[in-house]
Amino acid sequence: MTTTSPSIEISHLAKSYGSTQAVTDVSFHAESGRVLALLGPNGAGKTTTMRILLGLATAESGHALIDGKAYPALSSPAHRVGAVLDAGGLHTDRTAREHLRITAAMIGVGQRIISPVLQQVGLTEAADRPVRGYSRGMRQRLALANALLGDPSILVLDEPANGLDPAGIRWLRQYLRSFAAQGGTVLLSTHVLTEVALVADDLVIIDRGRSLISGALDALTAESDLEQLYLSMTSVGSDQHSQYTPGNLAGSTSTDRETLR
Amino acid sequence: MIRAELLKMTTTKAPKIAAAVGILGVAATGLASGWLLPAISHMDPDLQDSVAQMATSTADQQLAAMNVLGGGSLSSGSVSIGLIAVLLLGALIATTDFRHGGIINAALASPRRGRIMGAKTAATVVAMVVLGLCYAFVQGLLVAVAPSTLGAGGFSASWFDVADVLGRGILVLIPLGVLGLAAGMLIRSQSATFLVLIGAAVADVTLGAILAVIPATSSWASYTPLALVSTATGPSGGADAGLALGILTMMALAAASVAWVTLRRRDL
Repeated sequence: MTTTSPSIEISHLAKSYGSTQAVTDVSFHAESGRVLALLGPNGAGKTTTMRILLGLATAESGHALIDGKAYPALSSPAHRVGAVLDAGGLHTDRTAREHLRITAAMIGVGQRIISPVLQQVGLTEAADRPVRGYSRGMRQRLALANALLGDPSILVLDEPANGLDPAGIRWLRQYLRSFAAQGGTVLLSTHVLTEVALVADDLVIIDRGRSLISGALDALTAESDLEQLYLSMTSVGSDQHSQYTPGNLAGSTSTDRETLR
Repeated sequence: MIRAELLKMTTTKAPKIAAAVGILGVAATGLASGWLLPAISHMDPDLQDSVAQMATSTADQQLAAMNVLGGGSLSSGSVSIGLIAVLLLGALIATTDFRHGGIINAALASPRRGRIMGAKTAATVVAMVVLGLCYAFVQGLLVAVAPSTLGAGGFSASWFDVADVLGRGILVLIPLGVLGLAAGMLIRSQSATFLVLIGAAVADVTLGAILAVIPATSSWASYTPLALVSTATGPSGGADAGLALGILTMMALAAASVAWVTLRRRDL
């Protein structure tokens, strides 16, 4: 990993909803110019971690910072961070252009940026059609366009490849690589291993509310493939835990060994 | 943020439908009291007495019929379609965001949630003023061209009195809309908010009736929200109307404050 100061810093985050402990202890950091994948099974705490980072939920302990500040303390957050959560925020009556007009009005950018952003995500032709006729992939593209309106330098994306067809996934991968190549920071959550392998520079594996391991993907998978690593560390592959030897993990930069069974 | 909230309203069907239903309700009530009932009054002597009370022959009767919430004596102090539409429009401004996830985009754009609440309140005020102007236009027009008005030689109320009655009617819609908004922000579920608001409006009528028949509480009956609406929009105006409008505004501000605190504390 590079040694630049982290754009995103998450430390010992904890959050519960009633008796359910959604996040127990999550720590990692993401740096500019890199794509960090938050990998874990469904219900591992990925989305909750992102919601806390974006100021949508309050942590019980720990902190989640962007450029050293909590999201609500950023002076113009939408110009610093673009986020896509659940491809949500889309009303089926509205067109893509209307959605972007609303977001532009909310974050205080001019309407002129809308057409270039629509073009950037490949929605120019469908821009004036109601969202109800959109495929899941088109909705994901629109949600991404919403996130890009403020020209952010950090992208936080929750399961961004969900619903995208192979061409869409390829497009997204290339877009994220190019975003990072221009110095941007990408934090994405996923449970798809191939997506991680193809797009990520850095990896955090999270399960049952705990970050289990983090580091550069190349280093983490130097001696075992990603699937083996993932299955050995998470509850999904609990039957394979006996095959995993933490000491053999080359390049491990941060491992919560206590969580390994 | 305010412009964004207004765009949200104008780019979806539900707020337009709520407004259209309200305007049609006001028009239908006015048409019923000004045209339909007089036309069929010969069928029943009792109905003739009621129709005589609804006539708009004199200036006082014309002003009494200009309740923007619909139908003058047909709806005063009770639940009208116009009133329900106002409450639901306010609720829609809040709940559409929760239903479709737009509240997340709003919170990402403006992490200070007081700004979100402020923008929604301001958008509600604008919507209520526009809707109120439509209500006032429809109600004023129907009274002006009603058969009993024309039969008595035309409109005789002074323009100042007309502006006073209709203006108070428009102003009353603002706290009502904000109450609907606050309910939506607190409850978040669209259907649950609608049920609560309609239930509350009906319960208000029942409560007012119960308070009125008990001697010890009869004076309180004029302080239920719908009774306050009736006083504020009534033809007599004066200090009572101002007080009623003031109390309604305080109720709306209190509800909006509770909604703001709740929005600030809740996870989204």
